[in-house]
Amino acid sequence: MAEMDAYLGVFIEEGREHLQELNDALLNLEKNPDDVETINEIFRAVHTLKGMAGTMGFDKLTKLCHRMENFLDILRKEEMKVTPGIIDRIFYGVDLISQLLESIAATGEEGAIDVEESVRSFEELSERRETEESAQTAKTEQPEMEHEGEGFVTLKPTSEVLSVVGKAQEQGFNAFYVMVVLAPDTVLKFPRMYMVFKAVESSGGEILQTEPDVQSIEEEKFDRSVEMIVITKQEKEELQEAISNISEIERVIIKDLKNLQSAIPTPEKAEKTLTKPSKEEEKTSKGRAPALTRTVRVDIEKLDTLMNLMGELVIARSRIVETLKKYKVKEVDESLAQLSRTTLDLQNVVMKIRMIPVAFVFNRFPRMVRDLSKELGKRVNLIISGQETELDRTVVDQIGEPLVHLIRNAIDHGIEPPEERIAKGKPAEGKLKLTARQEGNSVIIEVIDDGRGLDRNAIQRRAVERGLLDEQSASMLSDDEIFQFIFQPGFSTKKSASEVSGRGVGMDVVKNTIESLNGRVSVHSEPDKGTRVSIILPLTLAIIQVLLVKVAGNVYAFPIVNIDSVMKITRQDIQQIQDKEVVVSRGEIIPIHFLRRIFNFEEDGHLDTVNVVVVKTREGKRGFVVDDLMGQEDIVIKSLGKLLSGIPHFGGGAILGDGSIALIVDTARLAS
Amino acid sequence: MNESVELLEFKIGKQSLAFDVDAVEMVIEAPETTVVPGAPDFVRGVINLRGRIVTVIDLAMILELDIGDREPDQVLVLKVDGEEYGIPVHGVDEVFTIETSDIETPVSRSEKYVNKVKGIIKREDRLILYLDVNKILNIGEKEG
Repeated sequence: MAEMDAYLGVFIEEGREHLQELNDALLNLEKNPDDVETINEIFRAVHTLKGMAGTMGFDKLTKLCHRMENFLDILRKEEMKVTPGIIDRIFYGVDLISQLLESIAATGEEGAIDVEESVRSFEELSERRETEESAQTAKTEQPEMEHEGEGFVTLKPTSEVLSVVGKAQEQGFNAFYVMVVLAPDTVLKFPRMYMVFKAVESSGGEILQTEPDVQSIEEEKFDRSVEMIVITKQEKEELQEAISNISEIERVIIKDLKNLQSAIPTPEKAEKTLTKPSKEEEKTSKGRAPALTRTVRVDIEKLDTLMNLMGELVIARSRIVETLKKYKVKEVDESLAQLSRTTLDLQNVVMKIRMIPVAFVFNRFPRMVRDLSKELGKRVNLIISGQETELDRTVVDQIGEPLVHLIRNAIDHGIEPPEERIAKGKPAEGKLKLTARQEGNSVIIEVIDDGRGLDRNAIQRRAVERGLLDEQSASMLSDDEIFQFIFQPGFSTKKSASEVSGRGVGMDVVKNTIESLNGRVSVHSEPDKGTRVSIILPLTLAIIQVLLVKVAGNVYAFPIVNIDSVMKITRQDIQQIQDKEVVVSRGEIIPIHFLRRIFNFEEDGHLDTVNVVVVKTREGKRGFVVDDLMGQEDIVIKSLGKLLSGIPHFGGGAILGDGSIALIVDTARLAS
Repeated sequence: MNESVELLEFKIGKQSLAFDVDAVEMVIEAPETTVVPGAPDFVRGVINLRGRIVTVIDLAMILELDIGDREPDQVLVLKVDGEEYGIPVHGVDEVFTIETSDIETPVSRSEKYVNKVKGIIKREDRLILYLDVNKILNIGEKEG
């Protein structure tokens, strides 16, 4: 059972990848409806999905893919024109496949999703072609049959094969061209072909060449027919019978190569015919086929374990270093330095393994933008750049939702309808840019539109209405400072909530998600020029820089990214404003909190001067009073586990060099 | 049909208790525990278990057992649904096998045992409370 589960995991992963390919190719087809290669790509993806679904026994998925595949076959033979209506049908089919796959991922079953309607629509489309163009297809099929009769429909014998055939014939062997056509709906295609090979080889025959090649046959990367060149002692009729006896074989066509001398291209001719496809290959590999890289799929949990072990190793190393410092053992210095370098390198490698390109999230946006802009009657050109930028896997997994929100907002509220844009003297088609880039230890992701921009006055009014701001201070804030209010919970200036966005939830969720990833988000906007939302994320979540502090003998860690400054103050500096304790620093009023009080430790009233760690939160700066500052350190963040994930004070823990635990303060939640 | 279970017997204070042995990953010497401010009462804190941070649960508090001044000297490490939990105890006794028919259903004397005890086992002169690991951890989750 566990083995089946493992297959299921791979099936779902690969299924999703093929779906992504399908969506990309469909979008491409929409732009270039006559591009046969794109249709081929779609055909291949659907075909592979069908094969996978069949092997796993998912009947609805198999059926849907099968009908789609039949229909796509008609398109790729250019027997029917690709129209926007047809593309919508295919999109709908792809959505169904996606729903089925997600249902399988969630429950292991296909669920109650109805595929019949879509199956019928593809059948109807296929039939329409048949009735309308039956005469024509009959014509096109006829010469194909004749061509088959001559052999070598696609198989091109190599010069080596031809010379072997020649020698074999001299020694009294028979050489045949064999074409095996499997019955439609054959599920186990490779096992069937394997039986064909066995049948040939068991009677002393040898298969010199196949089309497609053996590997593709093993991977079931063929439609229904396989061509081979066989040398054998058997007669044509014996071979025919041996192969025909295998079940699920629809047709076997065998041609004796002796009687068809003219059909065998001479080696020179063969060379020529060979150069053609290789050129095509070159073209396609340059054009679209992604370069194959050698990869291994690894369960993310294994990587987490590796990361944990790595952390332990780093800790063990620093403990050794600390111990040896005490004894001043000079002899080990060099090997320790070596150990330090190696662990550091190892750490970098492990970090890199966890990184994946943001393309994993970006890829789904072209489809989303297409659907949304259609729905809202806008024209949007999505420009994606920097999708190769890499981020920690956990971060990539979580930025999807916030980005969906931002893109929806940009299309719904930002980009104007074409008429309005033309009236403003802008091009009818709006531009929406989604970019990612690395800057130092951060990755910056931006969503930029050239729409109407944010309305400063409306946001300011709303902020005043909600008591977040008074008129006087509002007028002193810059535009961008005012715009930050859109990240407040339940903050919306839109009167009517549209289907897509503007329900007043959203931007605060965006901000929360980004902050939970130790990132920041900011917004810049100009009227009628557009809006830019920038998300700044740390490269990785697993290792962060912290400031270690001591409170009542315990060590706590403040993430450096959250810290504004550190200051030493005396008791007299603390003032009371409306039952809140604050300090004034460079003209700024900063509320302060005593960590001893928050953490329920005994208060220490003797100290004259105290250390304050000032952090940035979305409500402004907050100061936390601690006993001692211990210095900066790189730490590996660890989860505190299920039971403690709900408590507001800490976002995780870290194990320090001496084996003790430092809890990582969640400043955003602690301050509120 | 007679089924049997394999249990690990241990003590908190003077009370004998038992868990399914499958749930117990290891027994370690009680390490230094870091207090977690803001955590629920029954969480004693966290420990460093070979580089992993593991929550330590105060079973004595959950079951309202009197342990006097004696600090637990060992910690049972449970592994449930991939998560590890530490339970401080005053000594681990032995692993034994018992037929399910020999386990008595608890007569719920008081609220504190309801849903936490699977049964009561008489063994020599001792009464052992056979605890339900999942339910005890679930209570933790609800309250936490």
